[in-house]
Amino acid sequence: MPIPFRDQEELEDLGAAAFLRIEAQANPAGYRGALFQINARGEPLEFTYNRVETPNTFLWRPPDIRRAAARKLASSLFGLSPRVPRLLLCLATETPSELFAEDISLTVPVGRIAHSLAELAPHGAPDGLAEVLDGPDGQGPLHLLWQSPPPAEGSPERTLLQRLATYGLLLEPFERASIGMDELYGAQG
Amino acid sequence: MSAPPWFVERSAAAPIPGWRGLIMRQPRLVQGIADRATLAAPVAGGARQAALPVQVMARPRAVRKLGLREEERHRGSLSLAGISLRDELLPAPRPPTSDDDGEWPQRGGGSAGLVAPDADVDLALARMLAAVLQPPAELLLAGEGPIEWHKPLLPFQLDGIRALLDRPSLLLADDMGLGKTVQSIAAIRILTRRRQIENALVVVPAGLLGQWRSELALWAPELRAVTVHGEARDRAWRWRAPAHVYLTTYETLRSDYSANPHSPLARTWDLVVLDEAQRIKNPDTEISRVCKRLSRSRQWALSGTPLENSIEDLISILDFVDPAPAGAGWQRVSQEELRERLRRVQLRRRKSEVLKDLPPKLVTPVVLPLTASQRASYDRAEREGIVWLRDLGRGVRVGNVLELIARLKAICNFDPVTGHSSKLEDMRERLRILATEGHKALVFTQFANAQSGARAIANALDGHALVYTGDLSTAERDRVLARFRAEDAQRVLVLSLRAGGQGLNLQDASYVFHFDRWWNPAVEQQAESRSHRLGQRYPVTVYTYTSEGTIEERIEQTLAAKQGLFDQIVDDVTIDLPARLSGDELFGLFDLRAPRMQADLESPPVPDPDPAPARDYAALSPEGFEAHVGALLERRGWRVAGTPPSHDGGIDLIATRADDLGSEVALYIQCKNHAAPVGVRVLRELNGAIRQAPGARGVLACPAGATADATVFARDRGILIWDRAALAELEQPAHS
Repeated sequence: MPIPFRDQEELEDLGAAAFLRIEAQANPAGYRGALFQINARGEPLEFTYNRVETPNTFLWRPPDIRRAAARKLASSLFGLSPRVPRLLLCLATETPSELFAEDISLTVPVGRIAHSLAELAPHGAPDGLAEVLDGPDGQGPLHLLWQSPPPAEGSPERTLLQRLATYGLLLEPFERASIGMDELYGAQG
Repeated sequence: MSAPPWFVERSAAAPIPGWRGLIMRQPRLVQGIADRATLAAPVAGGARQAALPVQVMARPRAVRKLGLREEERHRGSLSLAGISLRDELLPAPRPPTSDDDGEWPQRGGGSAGLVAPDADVDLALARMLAAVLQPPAELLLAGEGPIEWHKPLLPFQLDGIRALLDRPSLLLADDMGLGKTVQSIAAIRILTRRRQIENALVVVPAGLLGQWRSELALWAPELRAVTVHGEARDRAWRWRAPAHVYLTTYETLRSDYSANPHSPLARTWDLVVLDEAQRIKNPDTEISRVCKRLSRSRQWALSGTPLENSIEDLISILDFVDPAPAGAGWQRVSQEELRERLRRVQLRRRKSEVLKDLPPKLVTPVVLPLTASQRASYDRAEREGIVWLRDLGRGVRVGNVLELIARLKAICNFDPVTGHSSKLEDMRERLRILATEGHKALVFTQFANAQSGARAIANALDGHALVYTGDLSTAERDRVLARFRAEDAQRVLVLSLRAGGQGLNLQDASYVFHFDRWWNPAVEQQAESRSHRLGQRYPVTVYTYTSEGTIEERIEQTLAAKQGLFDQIVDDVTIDLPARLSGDELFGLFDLRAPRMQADLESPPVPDPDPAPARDYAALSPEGFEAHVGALLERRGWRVAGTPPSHDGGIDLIATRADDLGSEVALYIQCKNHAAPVGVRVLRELNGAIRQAPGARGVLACPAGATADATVFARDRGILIWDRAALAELEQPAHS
């Protein structure tokens, strides 16, 4: 029986942050995805994973395949996860904006993260409120576009986000999620 | 099927139509099947989704890697919170095979070795993921990472922490003052947070308990630490209190250790840390044996001077850090093999290499003539002492020589007749000047008493000095240190070398006085490092006093001649001088020749192999024997109480005392003055009584000794057997 740390209650109050990772895989053709949930100190709480195989891409437009796969993967990951996070973050470069704008609706704040505004909205101004956050050392600021109403100041969601930003945990967990999928599926998928 | 409440798919028609040429079709995606972990895991807030249509795909790498059975694991959700990653739970990794993609990380460092053939697959998979998904050490060590550090860690400290994290066995032998404590606490914190350890036992000298407590609170505030020290009845429950870190002293560990499987100390520790590990340099001491007997997965030894006297010191510490394979003791390996082994398990950095900004240390020898009255007393004592040694003839022992040396050194400090002291006169003047300049000073002496030691010095300084000696309780020591650090008026701290020479952080002082010389300059350097360490802002000036034309000068000359020999033994360890001289050398200090027949001359504490009976114990009645044993203990400073005849377990005497480091020690003594060796039944009875008194040590006083069974029984339970030889040792004067 693990002995609780003195900060356990505080961490539980802050809740979990979920990082959605969706990656294309070559063989078999398809996508793999992970919903990686951590606490405010970056400690792993839950790892949910799945993958989909896509049909012959010759018949379908790649963006359609990608969107359908992201939708199917995301919804299955959310369904599989027994834990509801305080907020969800995903990478703008691998998660289409339509996913949370049109296909799936979450009750928790959803933010897409990018190094630049261009990544957030490649075809024009971003559809929503973008925040600028401190990025990891030497990598410049990060842009966060909320796909839902942003968490209010002083709310637990906002506190958690600030904690993640302070601790350098806005991007790093995506790398771990990818490592987790490598462990499960292999580096080549 | 009811979806979890936190997400909703907005359209019932899942796929999005796409056009290619003239045909519009909907992509049909194939998902992974639900695995056993998914179906078995508890689901909060609703039923889990049913498995989606099955399509067998290539085996996931994890299943291949786990090498268990053909089972698909394409999707699932694993709870990773609180999963233990202790080495103990991880079987040894199997060797890599061609199916492993060339990767098979080592134990504790990744996902390997996580599965035994019969292990539960889900737990193994969760453990594997938990291991690889922990926050990386570099992130945790970063100044602005998920763990807040009390102060920025220096680059060499980060290297030290990485070494501690990566190696289950390490001798951290950094120079004094580089922060071995902080590095250890930081590594403990990271290992605990990463679930690689759940408990750590930290053993420290009693004088460092307060400091460790403070450092733990600063550097690992979220860890639960319990200090096991003080009254025996408190220690019993403290050992059983849930905690991440158990902090105790060598003396308490020695008192409380028992091989009894029900003993709290008999658990397997995830980590054992020995601070000032030179405390176990003598493999024949009980504390050394106890530390090595502790069942443990990881072990670190911290010592700035792992080799103080001889290569055996190092071997004894290595026996703890890196035990040799059974039957292949380190004593049997060549010096070169030992050095090679040391290179693999020792991390040592010098101040001059890593703290280039540390202010310099200037050592100034001060050689003073004795005052006239001191000289008269000294010459008389030396003359009479030599005559005394000669009169002892072949019965003379090294202990007799040591006794004379101690007497002469005491006179070098203070004249026992007039109280004059040339050292004090010189030091008082220096301290006066330092006080006007606002400096603080440390004064070290080997003596603690009021005639020639720490108290005498403090009294002679008109009561303006604080005293730190081993007879103070831990709380009193903490108060003294707090006053010295906080109060400007407290400018001088007089410390006994033994109690204050190790581990303390006293950077507030930039002047150090060695009022008398210890046998071993390594010990002196340890003491100087209380001031000359990380955080010191001023150059440190050290004054070493030596009385001209006295035993102090002769000892120094003899020991200095040995320096070169010890420098060769361990490359990176600044080995200095032996703590003890050979019998020849000791006798040579007085132009005497050591008698050849005593096997114990070279090693005073070892009793004669077949000592002549000090007494005819057979002539004593049972009551007389009890009284005699009690008297022997009282002579050595124990408080001895008899027990009623009906006392459980046949306990005849209870002896207690605060040891010289402030920890209470209790002996439960059973006296059996039988003609034949005592059997195991008596020891069982004694053992039962001790179990009712946690922390107490059992002793069977039996001149006729014990049977083989009884001896084994006693050894396994830490019960002491005082046979005729041991009693003969007790009969000796206390100084030997």
